[in-house]
Amino acid sequence: MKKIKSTLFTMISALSIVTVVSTLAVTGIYIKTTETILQNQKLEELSAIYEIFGKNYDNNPIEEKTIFNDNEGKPLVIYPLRKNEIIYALAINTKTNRGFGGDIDLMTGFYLDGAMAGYKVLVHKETPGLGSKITEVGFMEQFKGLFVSDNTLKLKRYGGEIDGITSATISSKAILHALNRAKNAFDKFSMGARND
Amino acid sequence: MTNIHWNEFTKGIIKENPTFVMLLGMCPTLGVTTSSLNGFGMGIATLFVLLLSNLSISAVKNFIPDMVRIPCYIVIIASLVTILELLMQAYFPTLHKSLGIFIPLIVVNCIILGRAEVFAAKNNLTNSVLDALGMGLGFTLSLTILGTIREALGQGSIFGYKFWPENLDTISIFVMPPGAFLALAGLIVIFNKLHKKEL
Amino acid sequence: MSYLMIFIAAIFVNNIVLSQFLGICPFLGVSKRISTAFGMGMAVLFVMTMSSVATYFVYHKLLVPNNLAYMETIAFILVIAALVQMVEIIIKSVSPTLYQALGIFLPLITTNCAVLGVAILAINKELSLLPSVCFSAANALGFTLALLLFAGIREKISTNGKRVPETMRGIPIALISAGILAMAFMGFSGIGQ
Repeated sequence: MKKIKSTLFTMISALSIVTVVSTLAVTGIYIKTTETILQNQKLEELSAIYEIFGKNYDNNPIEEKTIFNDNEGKPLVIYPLRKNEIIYALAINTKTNRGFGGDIDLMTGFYLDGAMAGYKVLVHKETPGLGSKITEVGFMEQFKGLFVSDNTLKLKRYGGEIDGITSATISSKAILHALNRAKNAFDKFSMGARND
Repeated sequence: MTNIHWNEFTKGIIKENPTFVMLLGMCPTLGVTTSSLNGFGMGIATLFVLLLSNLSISAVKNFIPDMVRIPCYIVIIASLVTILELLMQAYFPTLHKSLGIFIPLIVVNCIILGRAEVFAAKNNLTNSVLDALGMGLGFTLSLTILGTIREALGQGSIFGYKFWPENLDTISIFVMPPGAFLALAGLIVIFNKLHKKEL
Repeated sequence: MSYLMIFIAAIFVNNIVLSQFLGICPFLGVSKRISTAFGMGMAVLFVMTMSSVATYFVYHKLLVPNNLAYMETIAFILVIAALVQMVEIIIKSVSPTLYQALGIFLPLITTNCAVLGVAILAINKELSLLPSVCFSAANALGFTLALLLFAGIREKISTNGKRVPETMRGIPIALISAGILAMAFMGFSGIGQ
């Protein structure tokens, strides 16, 4: 069977039909998968919060989440955690683009009295064996229960209280950048909450 | 019943291997092979698109006027890639995160447009499918091998299973950009040596 | 983020070819001579900058308001293909010699993963219009830089051809040189922090 000739009519029809059919196919799959994709996202958020706080809350943090913009990068997400209707902690999804390998995405948390609940790295591209130690207990431990004031979240050599990872200063500082953003968001949010 | 040319399938694996012989699809080859799983996953994802693309283009080849063929192929391939992206986001979220930006970039993977233009547009359905399967499997094979070597040397593991003792150093450069170039160079040299011996 | 930092970061620290692996195909294929490398780089600069504006508007004014964000890949590649077609027509009429020199490389810019990749990256980084344009231009310059450096190295290697062992001639030695170049660029990490 010979190929169709290239006239203006056939060209436009062929291109249009191909585009319409393709768009319908894509939209069909989109409709079918959009529910599952949202569910996956919620599950991820919940499991990240669980890693830090366990199941110690009785509200639905996902439903109460708010976005916080500080112009230092992508916006943060704040998840209030309540016990008996009262907010007692905030889980915060924070990010930094100062990682050695690029963006680092992590979940951290602060209790209302200002103590940190620790953090969990969600996405990173740091060097295995070096920067990747940001996910290791040895480095992460010093953040659990740490009371954060002005100069706490800096490396010791810069006047802070944090021991960096040997040979991975950039990765260490990136984590601190993300945590400082979170602390800032926590401060602004809890000031607002206290006015309720 | 048209002939089934089995060599259309086997050629993609060794003789016309997209990675080692034709040097196509270099971006994902170097970009995602930081682990065996990533290499394998990317290979299968590309195979999926390649298969459906060759299939659809071979099916409609007589209805597409010559002058608009490239735009039509692009629309078809881009739609298939978007479908793949959505399916991966829903059912394979971890792999989707690891492969990142390279998933939408399958659209511009020269292998897919190349096979569409060079083969599927001129051959029947069965042979087009075989061609896609062969090329796709060849590509998956090369990516998995490259990923395994980089993961083994750079992290001391294969498919996530650590075999290198914790306290001994690994050659980290292999999971970083320069290592990709070096590892691929090494593999091509070995491939060439083996291939030349057969001739 | 200051604009100077965007440029330095894109060209040196996160070089699009040597550390992000986008644009490898033309990188390995075109860069055998410095003059072709430069021509390719300029063409890519032109297309990338224009596509950053076009894709920004298509994404933020067309796709997102209509809940069609999932059509990003399809829309972007069509925009790029159309742009390259336009550029081809313009160059053909303005400077036929340049058109001849670039030859097949011009249509190949459509399949250059760097062009589509940078467009998507700009959206992922949630940049506004002006930073997007700077980001794309900077990446195009980084691409050109990598291409020029590589072409220079390859020209040198080909004039000293006999020193390269036979199985390593052509692509393998090119890849190894690229690897060493990538290692050199790793030295730029941490600038600006």
